[in-house]
Amino acid sequence: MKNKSIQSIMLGLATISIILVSNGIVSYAQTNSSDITVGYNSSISNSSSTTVNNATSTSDNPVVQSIDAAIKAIKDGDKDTGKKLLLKAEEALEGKSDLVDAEKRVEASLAALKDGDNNAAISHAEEAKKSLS
Amino acid sequence: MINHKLIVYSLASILVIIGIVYFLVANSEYEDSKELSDMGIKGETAEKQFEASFFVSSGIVNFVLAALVIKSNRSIVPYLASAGISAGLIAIYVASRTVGVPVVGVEYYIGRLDMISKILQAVAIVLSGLAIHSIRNSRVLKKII
Repeated sequence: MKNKSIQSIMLGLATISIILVSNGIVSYAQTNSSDITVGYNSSISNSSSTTVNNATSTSDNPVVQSIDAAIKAIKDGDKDTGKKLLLKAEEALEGKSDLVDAEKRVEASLAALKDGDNNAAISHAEEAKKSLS
Repeated sequence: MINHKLIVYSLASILVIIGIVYFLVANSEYEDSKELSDMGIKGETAEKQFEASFFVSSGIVNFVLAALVIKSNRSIVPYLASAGISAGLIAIYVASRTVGVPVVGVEYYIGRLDMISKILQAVAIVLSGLAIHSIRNSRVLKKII
């Protein structure tokens, strides 16, 4: 009876491990495939992001414009463009001690995007914009 | 009376799973650091590399603890270490999401793997407590007999 309980617990925990590892492999594969897609469609993404940039942002701040365009891209389901624009914003914010909070929000948005949580990604991007205004 | 063997194997398995989760997070941080490095974002790259190293170390510590728990012969030390380290890692995580920690500062995003590891660490603390309680009870019984 006791051995049976131990075996069933071990089986359950082994299943959890397999799920976690397979989840890691799947996300790794997704990251790689999205990287390839980004590389393949970079010219298309660049042109569309510029269009998004001009169409939505009302701020003169290029970082805010990037974040605005990223939010628009994420809402439209274009995660790759959203990620590229957020990385662009991150690059612009790096090393500016007075803008650490905005940088951290952009990082959180990138992490949420990677996790597949688009709503959190948008929410953190909005917070980043607030920190910059 | 809870079977001591059951607690030991459950705790060891959970510690192994926590170790796997830390390796997955470390791998993710390493990928991010490569990407940021390619873009020339040096500060964030260094931060990600530090995080990846920390998570790899935490994963290894959890694997070692799992081995110690299985090998422990009615000693409470591995359980105290498991509970203490798990509590410490939870405390560091809470600090990183609130007041900030050295090198990394404050992080705002709470990921799925973060949540899984914190829940498992809480379970590891409870199981460690049960194991210590079980060992002390058996010692008292032995003295009485």
